[in-house]
Amino acid sequence: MSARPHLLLVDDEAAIREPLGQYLQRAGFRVSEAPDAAEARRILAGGAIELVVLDVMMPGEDGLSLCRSIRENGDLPVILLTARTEETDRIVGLEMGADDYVLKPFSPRELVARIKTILRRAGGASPREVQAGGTLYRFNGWTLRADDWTLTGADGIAIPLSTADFRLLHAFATHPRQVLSRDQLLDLTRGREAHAFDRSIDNQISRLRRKLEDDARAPGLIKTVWGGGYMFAADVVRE
Amino acid sequence: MTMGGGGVMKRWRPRTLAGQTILVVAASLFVLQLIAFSLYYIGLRNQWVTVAAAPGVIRILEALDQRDQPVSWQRIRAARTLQLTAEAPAPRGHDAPQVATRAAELFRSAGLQPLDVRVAINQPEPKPRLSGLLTGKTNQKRTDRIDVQLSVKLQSNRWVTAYTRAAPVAQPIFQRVAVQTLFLFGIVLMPLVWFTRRLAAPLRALTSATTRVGTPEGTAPVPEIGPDDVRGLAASFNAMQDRIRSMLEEKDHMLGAIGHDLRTPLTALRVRVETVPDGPDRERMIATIDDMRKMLDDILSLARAGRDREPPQRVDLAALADAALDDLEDTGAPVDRADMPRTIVTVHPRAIRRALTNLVENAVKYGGHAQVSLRVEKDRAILAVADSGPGIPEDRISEMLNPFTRMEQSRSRDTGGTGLGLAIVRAITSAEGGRLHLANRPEGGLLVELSLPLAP
Repeated sequence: MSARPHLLLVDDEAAIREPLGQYLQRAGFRVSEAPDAAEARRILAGGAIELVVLDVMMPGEDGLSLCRSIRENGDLPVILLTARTEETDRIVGLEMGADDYVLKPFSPRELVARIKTILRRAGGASPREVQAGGTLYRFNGWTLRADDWTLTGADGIAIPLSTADFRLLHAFATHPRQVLSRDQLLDLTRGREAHAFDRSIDNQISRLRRKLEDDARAPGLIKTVWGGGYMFAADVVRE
Repeated sequence: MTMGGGGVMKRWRPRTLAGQTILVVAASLFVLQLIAFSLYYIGLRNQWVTVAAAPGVIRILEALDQRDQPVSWQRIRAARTLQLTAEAPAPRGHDAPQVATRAAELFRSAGLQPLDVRVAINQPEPKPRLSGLLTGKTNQKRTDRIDVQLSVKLQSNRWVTAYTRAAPVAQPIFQRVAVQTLFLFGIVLMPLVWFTRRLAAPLRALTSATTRVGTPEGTAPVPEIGPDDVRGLAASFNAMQDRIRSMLEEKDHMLGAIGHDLRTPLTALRVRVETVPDGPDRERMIATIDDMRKMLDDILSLARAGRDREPPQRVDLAALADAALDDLEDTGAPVDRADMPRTIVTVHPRAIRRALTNLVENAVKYGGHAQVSLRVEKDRAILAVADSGPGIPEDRISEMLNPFTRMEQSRSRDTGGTGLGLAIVRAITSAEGGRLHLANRPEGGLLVELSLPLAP
């Protein structure tokens, strides 16, 4: 993270883009602004951008599509600004490869806090795996549905998951067969309500193991790695 | 008895268009058959009267031989089957005035003016068994001969009596009724069954399509088949459905536009608030913007309730409640929960989760804490959320389910929220095939029960 990280702010609404740009500059960032995807691509081609703040709903090419193409071309972090509230849309943003999202109207302070978190993480680099695909993850006879946060077993009965459980399992499902440290898991599962996930990762893991009927003494799915953290020992098929 | 009879009638009365049409036609056909056979039977009897009278009359007339005038009594005496008496002979068998009248007519048409005609017939009165009656196999030997005693008074003290036989009228008439009726039913009813089914099929398709109008999965156009008027109904239904669909799409589009377009200036406002110096004013501005955001969210949720395009899933309601309550507890909401049995329902999990979250948030807001339980009664799962708050005055309970209704007269949003919470719960509940019941608990506080049909 450089002293004055360089952000790209993409929003078609000048009423938001201009004051937000000023606010971010006062908060210590260098800010380039783009009113649409085409301009954003031009600025990105110039290089030096460290993070993109991207509005989802824009005329012409929308934010999700731009986000996907940024992700395909590299590791540049993206935060989505979205007006939608439905969980489907939230998760779609993350599935498109965004690192985080904020819901309009958002607190600019919170946006700054998240930008800083992500830039810090990008410096230390959490492993991030982005595959193309849908919102279904299948492993060991289970199906995780990212659109409505349910886990479906072989009997076809959906088990809804709490936000914390879902985020943890989603983190595992998107990083199969990788050792994830507790810090990495915290990073991957931390949401806007930081206090919501004060429960220790270990507690969450044991709760999740119960739901997955994974024996805690001899876990087959979420394996404890000595000194390292946890590993999701399953092949995940994404549909 | 009448009630029981009514029940039986009701049970036997067909409910479908095809069934009722067939029943009415079958009943009419049967009545028609009865009338036709009565007429036929009367005609047959009429004919039989002539058949019974004619042989005797002919024999007497032959004996008299019209050309010999005056009456040649000698010849009558000579005829072996004729009897000449001074008085009317004792009747053998019972009186048959119809036959006598017919005989008198025959005599008159032959130019004779009988003074009196008496006929007695002696039918070896068969008491046909019921089975014989139905099958027509009555004892032929007993019934194929009827003795007819025909006496005519030609002059005072001159009675001529003829003894003849006649075949009985008795035919296997019931058998014929049965056979003909069955035959007729076959000819008329079979095409009718085919036709009414053909008529009812598009109506049934229309009915099932109508129940799906306005639901998120929508309904395919009804096939325009059948007779013209039914076809016309299907066509106008399809047109109506198109209009409804475009209205609903327009509504969704408009609400989406409102949500987006209002959020944009609200976001701009929220960003600019940061330039206001810290202080109570700034806090109030931020709180107001937040309220407006919540209201927008709620309006959009209400508009979207029941418009989920995904098919419902078989969900463990206990796990759903646990997940929702875990999330609420993570935000610090005081929730008591009972042990909940595994209960499978077919719903959209996100919608029910939203409904339960709203109910618990309400309970916490008004009652300080929420007690959540799940039980099964008959074929329904019942999620109950209870609080220890002030409850709701009985006369306002149903009103509370309407949008924008809050407990406080002041409409203060500090405790009242947007007033859409319960309306959203109700909209979700009815869209998921459930029922919502609000009641004050005897020990104080409000009890809200959301019941859902168990998955088959």
